[in-house]
Amino acid sequence: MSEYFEVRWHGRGGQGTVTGAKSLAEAVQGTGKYVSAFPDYGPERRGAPVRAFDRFADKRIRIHIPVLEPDVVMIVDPTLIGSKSLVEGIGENTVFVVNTEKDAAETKRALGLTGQTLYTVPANNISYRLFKREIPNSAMMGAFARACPQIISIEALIKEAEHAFAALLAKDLVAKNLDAIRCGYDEVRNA
Amino acid sequence: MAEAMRQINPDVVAAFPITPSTQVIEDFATFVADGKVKTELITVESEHSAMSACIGASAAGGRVMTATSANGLALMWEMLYIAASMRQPILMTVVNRALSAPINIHCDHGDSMGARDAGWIQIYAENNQEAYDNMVMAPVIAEHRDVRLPVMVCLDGFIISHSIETMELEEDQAVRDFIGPYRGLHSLLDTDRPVTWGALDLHDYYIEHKRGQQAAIESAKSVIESVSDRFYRTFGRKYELFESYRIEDAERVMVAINSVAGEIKEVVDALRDAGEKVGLLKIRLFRPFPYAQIAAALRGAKVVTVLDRSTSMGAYGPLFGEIRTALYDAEPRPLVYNRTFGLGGRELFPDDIQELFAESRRYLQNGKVEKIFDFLNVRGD
Repeated sequence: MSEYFEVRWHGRGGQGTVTGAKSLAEAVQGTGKYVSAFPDYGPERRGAPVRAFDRFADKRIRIHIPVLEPDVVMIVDPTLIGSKSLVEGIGENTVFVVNTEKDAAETKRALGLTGQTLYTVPANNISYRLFKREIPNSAMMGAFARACPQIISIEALIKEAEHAFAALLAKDLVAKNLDAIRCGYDEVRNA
Repeated sequence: MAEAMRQINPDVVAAFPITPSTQVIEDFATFVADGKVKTELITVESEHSAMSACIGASAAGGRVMTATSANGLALMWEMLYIAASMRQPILMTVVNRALSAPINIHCDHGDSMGARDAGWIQIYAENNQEAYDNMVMAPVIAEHRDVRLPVMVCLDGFIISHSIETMELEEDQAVRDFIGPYRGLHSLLDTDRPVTWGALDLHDYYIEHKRGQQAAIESAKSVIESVSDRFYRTFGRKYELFESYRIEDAERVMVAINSVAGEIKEVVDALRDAGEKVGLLKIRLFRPFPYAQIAAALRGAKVVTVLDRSTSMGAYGPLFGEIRTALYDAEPRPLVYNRTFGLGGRELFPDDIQELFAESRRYLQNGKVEKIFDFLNVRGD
């Protein structure tokens, strides 16, 4: 379904993976695209692997199935690396965004990637710095804007995320999450 | 759905939470707490009580809403029939989910299909936009003097209920103008004109009342057509009793309900590009069932594949039964067969739909159906 731009998030319950996917969709919608975002619901347990999906398009999105051939894979939890589900359905042009402090080349090897582009971002580090705990999703959104400026620019992401967060969070947390987005964008490293 | 409920601003909501419909009432409870609606929210101890409270509030003359799923709907069973038979225009969101056992929180249509004989109008939706639009139309349909029946607005659990989608919401005032105020007939609270509701009715009159109920639900078809037409003129989105997607000259047509229609449309477009005459008929109104209109729309179809997302154990799927009945008098009569899919949330991918269309092409070429009934994407063959 090539007219859709498809993103697949991999995280663990409690890291805000689903919220990350949904907030990103709301932000991209603000730029005038059609969007959909939804999780892969299983039993809801903190720490269990979780997947969430985004679709972006210039026309109404009619399909609801999980993303099978992602344009972007967002790895929110690096301890998932090694699981086959992370690389399922990927192509040569699939872009990876990984929350890790490890070197990008090493991360690519660990994932078994060949020619694909991979960006790393120390999202946990950013999250501890700002929130004193592990909620890496906002930093991951910032890294997405760095990896996919054709979908959303960092300026548009900050502007639109402010609306999306304002509906969910108290004022000081909105500001901190916008900071996390900016740090995520700034601290991306590319292999 | 909670947004639609906020705009409708009902007098009473009585509900008990159950996945995946919980969020509807949770969001609505926030609207109540924030003073965005004037609704009396009754939190009850079970779905049976929820529907009982809805019936009482409706008989008192209020505009009344609730929401549920799966086992919650099943627990309402007794009261569903009473709501419809007492002609109470209650509005209910049904977020479709598989019934236990085994316990499963994901989508199929076993819950609302099981309630198809309860006397409620059932309207189905492919996506969040349609679910919202159907809910905005629901009070106008339910409260119409010729109808006065409860309405279920059904949508797929998780697939639709827990997804974010781009959609258009209308202005509060525009929705309220479209719906208008409600004045219940024969209110229990009108002490100047006291009435009895739900009285004893034996072999002297019961069957007459049932015939009256049948006439009321039958008349809902033309009411739904006119309300949908007014909705189109007001808000610009067109709805009919069912959606005909590229079926005008189609030889092979798939018939389905709810979100899977989106995937089918993608496949229909791809096959049309390749020159195949295929189409989709998507059910919107399941009760009352528009037999004649569907038969007319399928005139010319040579093979009809009916997809059921529920089972009627020991029988064919409920949608199949209706479609085959609708087509019995068709001349020439098309080949019609039934496939069960998606129980408990099992996906049906575009590739699966391609295969189904390949099968229907074979049936068309051979002039006969090889297998009238089967499960799709299932282990154990």
